[in-house]
Amino acid sequence: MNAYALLAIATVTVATVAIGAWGIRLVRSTSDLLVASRMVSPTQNAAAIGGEYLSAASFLGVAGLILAYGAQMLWYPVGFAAGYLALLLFVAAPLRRSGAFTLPDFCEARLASPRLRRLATAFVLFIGWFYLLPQLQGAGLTFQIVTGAPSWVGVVLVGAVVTGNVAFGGMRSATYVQAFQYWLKLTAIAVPAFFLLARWNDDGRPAIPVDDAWLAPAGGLVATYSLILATFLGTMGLPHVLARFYTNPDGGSARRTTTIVLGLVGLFYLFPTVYGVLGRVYTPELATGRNDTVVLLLPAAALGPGVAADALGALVAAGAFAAFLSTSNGLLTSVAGVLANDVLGKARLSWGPLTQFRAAALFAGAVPMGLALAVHGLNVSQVVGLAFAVAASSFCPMLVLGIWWRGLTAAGAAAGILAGGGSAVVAVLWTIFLPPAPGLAADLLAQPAAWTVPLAFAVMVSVSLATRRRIPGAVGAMLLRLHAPETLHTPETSRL
Amino acid sequence: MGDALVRELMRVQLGLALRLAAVVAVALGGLPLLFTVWPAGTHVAVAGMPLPWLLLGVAAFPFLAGAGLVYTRLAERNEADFAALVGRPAERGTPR
Repeated sequence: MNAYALLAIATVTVATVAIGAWGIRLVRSTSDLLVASRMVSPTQNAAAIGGEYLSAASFLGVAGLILAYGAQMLWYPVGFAAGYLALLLFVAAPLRRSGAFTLPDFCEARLASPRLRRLATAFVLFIGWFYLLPQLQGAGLTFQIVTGAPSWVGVVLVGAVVTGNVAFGGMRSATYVQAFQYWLKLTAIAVPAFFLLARWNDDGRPAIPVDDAWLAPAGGLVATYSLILATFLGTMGLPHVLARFYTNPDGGSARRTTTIVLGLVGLFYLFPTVYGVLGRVYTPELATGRNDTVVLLLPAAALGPGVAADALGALVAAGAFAAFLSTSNGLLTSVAGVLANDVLGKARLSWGPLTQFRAAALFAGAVPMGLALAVHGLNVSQVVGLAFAVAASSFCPMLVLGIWWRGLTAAGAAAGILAGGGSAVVAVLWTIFLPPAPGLAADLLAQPAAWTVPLAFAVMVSVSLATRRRIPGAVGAMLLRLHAPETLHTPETSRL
Repeated sequence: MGDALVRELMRVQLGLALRLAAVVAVALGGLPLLFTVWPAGTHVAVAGMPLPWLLLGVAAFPFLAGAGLVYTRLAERNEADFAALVGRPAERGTPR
């Protein structure tokens, strides 16, 4: 047990909760958030987006996958970064101009269909929960390594902290906290990486054990391209990403912020590879074991016992905790918001909005905790990859076609989300809960995006063409609002 | 504002986005195919690193950020052109 690491974890957790509790007194509504956002520079805002985005998958999972499987896993960090480029090219500015705060909001604003909104709500819940699951798994794992306690203790502890923080504190507003978490995570992954490289150099640069499969950037072509599609196109459909965009004052600044985000996450992703590669030298046994512990265990393994190893171990543990605290907070806030507004809000309960949100947060936090206790042994990046596949097969086509094609109808969007997203959901559940399918089917289920994304686009377009008499009447004004710079907006377009 | 003008703005912006997406799709998306048909390439060392590791582990990130920067510049220019055509200035960050 590393006492420094325990102290570092406790500090990060207490600071997050304290600032969350303090933030609620300052910010009470989304309009307060908007006002606050005008005081935040694009760089701060971009760091906040990066802070919320870089999750346990980026901090722990990527290095582990590279250690075990080599260059083909570099597609995870490349795809996680490239997702922001796709977001920038196709949706960033129009999405901000739509004024939507959640994905169901966008569905309703663009296509005016309550049924489509309900479908979108269901997908937000599914994606949010399957993205939260690996965060909690990562928390359990980190806690286990630092304290020696069983991993369920960490899952329950962190799940309870995050749920309580969202239900009674509220983190959404805390742009500065999320921005700080980005710099903390960058420091926590970069500083030990330089020490590890120095150590490797001092040791006379021992050879890195490699083989052809580990060096090659593509395992199977189908699986590789599927992963590329899922990560490139999935980012725009993640529930917590859109809500953060709302803190940009206008479409142009949404674009500039996204460009900075690309730089910041790209900078971060230079470092997990160092752990994956040097792990081959100093922790080779992890390649066939729990590979996503390599970031946590490598400093001690490479530097040997001592204060330096303990301090660096504490730093990576703090960074890992920052990773899943910030991502879980963002995700849970989005999921709870949708649940409170679109599920409990429709149930005609006699609760006030705050009670409703708190009940939603408690339920939204309990589901992934239950999942994290029930599911074992999956790499955190792989589970996150599955959530990306579902997002890429449901919300990506809806957003891209909704923004760029006036022919989209509510029926088309719903059919495409059901066909593509529904297939991806089945594939995800199969991969996690059932034994592997034989042959090529295993690849197609473990990495479904190669067929579910084209399916979603094809169904969405063809059903929209078949129902073209039901194109919303206000589509011209809506598209004007999405694409014209804000300075040209008239009172009529703003009211839409 | 005429419907035709908005259609033209959308056409120009979508064309820009698709062109940049195509560049990235070919440059990055071509790599798995390239190293599958040219397996010896995985052993070529550049700056002490195997070529695919240098491309994917290091070069991909500044490349993506650069593509984002180029897109933002050009998209803003398209919007400014559109605003000039409509006859009102597109200032940055002006409150509505």
